[in-house]
Amino acid sequence: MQPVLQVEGLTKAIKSRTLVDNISFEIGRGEVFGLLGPNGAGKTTTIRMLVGLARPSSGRIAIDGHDVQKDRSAAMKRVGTIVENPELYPYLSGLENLQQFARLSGNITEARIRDVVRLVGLEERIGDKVRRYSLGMRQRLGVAQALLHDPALLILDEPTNGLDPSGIREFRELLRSLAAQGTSILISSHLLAEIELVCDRVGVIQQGKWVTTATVHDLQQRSQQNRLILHVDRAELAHDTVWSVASDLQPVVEGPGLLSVDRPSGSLNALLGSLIKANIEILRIEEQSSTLEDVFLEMTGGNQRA
Amino acid sequence: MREIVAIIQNEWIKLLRRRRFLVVLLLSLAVVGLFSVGSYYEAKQMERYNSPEYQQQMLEDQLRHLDEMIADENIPAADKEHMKLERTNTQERLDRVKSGQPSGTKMTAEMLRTQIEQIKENIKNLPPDQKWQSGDMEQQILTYEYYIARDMTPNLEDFRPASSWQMIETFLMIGAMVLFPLLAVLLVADMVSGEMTGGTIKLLLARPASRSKILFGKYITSLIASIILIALLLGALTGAMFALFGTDGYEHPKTIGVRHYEEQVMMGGQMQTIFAVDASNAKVIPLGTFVLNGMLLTVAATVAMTTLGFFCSTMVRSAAVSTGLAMGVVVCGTIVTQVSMGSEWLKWLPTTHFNLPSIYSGEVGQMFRLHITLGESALWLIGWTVALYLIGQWRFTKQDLLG
Repeated sequence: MQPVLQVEGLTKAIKSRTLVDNISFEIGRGEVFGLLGPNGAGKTTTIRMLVGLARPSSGRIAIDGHDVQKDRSAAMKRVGTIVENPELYPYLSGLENLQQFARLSGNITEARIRDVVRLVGLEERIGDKVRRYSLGMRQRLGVAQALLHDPALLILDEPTNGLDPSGIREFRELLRSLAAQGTSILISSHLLAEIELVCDRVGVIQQGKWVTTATVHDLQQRSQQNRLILHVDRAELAHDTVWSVASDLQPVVEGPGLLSVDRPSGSLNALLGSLIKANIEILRIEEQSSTLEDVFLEMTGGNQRA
Repeated sequence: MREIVAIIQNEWIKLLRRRRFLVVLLLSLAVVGLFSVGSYYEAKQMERYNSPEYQQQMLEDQLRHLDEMIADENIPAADKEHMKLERTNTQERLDRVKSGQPSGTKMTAEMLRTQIEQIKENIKNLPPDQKWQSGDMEQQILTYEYYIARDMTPNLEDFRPASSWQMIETFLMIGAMVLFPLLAVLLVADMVSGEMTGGTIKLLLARPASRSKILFGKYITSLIASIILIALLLGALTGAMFALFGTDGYEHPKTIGVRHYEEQVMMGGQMQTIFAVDASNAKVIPLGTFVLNGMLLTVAATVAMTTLGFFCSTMVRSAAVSTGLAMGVVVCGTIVTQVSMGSEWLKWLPTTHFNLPSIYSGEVGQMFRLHITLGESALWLIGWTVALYLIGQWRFTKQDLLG
């Protein structure tokens, strides 16, 4: 089946600075894709090119098969967006804001507007001026405007900025139910925790470059690569011993009497047996589990420092 | 087409709801109100000044003063001859005022024709170095011919009470200098920049409608709004003036199409450049007709003024800055025309051509010492309008919204 979003070799350079450097990815139907990267990595620039707010220096973007540059109108009909904070007209009511966008999209009935308002739970305050809305309500109205024309692809840039924890949970549930109905979602964030709970796949971007594409399952697997910290009497000797019998465990001397090794899958007997045979006193064994966060840091900031 | 209509509808709602239109309209009505009150009291003042009682008192004071001077022994007898003559004249005028006769006489067609012949004779007899005065005289002939053609018997000396038409004419002329451009510019100077400042532009442009269409819809809305605004202002003004001064005075003559030329003239022992009247293309039409045409021309000029404000709103991202910029351009344009009188390059500025009614009559040419005709000014304004719109469109459609 044709992907809902296809990005090929997308690049944005302003003068000598390359903000986004030759990135490519695809999003399938009903898939929730996370665009992950630290602040300033190029996420917002990428998203603005996707929705036609900025012109790519090179590369191609197709939404539902329609090129964003050449067939803009058709492409935009299939996208709903919130670019950063949903900035709506504060002097209009929530309903009037939605009517503005409905007129631009065409063929949107009052009944559809009512349905969307109900979906985001704004029925009671929809007649109030947006000026009087809380940030959470604005965010929900932002989602409503993005959903009005029933888009195939929903693009959300840092959507939970400024939401409280319960708001974030509600928002996550809303996204999950939309995805279940077949809407594809691209969601950008600098917070891994936010993405791992809703996304199927994640693309990691760092300094404008694509680092990796992985399923959340992959990432979780990687994070389960736990290490063992062994407290021993002679760390150097223990290191050499492990190295000679199982170099794939990557032993590292962490300090006086401290040795770290990858946790072997299954039994520890082989590892511990070799140490005992070498007359090394094993004082304590700790298991250290790395989080998804560590994996992310390693891929982005961590990699840079290394 | 459906898209454009939807955009205009949206923009119109936004313009009304953010109260810009209301505020600018109230501002216009306040100006009309002030002008009405001011002109009413001025007219009352003039009426009082021209009332028989006041005139009588004035003339009596003058007689007393002259008598004192004539009695004064310090004044040489030669000067007193002149004073005695003036005393006789003043006495005659006083008698006329006392008897209730109007001063001056009604000019019949016959009398006007004689006057015209007289002026023609005078023109013929002008010495070559005073030929430049003929334009003014020809203009007078045109006015007299206008009276004859319309069977009017004007009393050229009598006091003419204030008329609505004359007041509206004054308002059009003063308004075109700063007021109308400021109102138009104030109304639309946040059309694009306002959405940039508020961030709403992102949601507007990430939609099917192309940027050109969005901009065009915004522009059309701006034009409709400013034309409605100026029309309401002129309507309110006309209503107020009719209520205060009635509808008389439509037929009063108004000269249009006056041109000017430069002439080196010896004056007071020095060569001086005179901006002389060229009446060869001039025409005299009823003042009322001039005022009505002037209103239409003002509305036409509003299109150019609005475009200027709209252009500023596409150039910068802050609504406050674009409004300030547009107002600055208008004010600077006015100041520059005042201080650079006579410079040929003033024609290149759009602000010079905003006062279309006075360009139509020739008064702008005289005021700013410029050789411009209505057709020329219209072309300049059209050129500026098209150029500013295209530059604005180029910027708006090319701009990356990354900030």
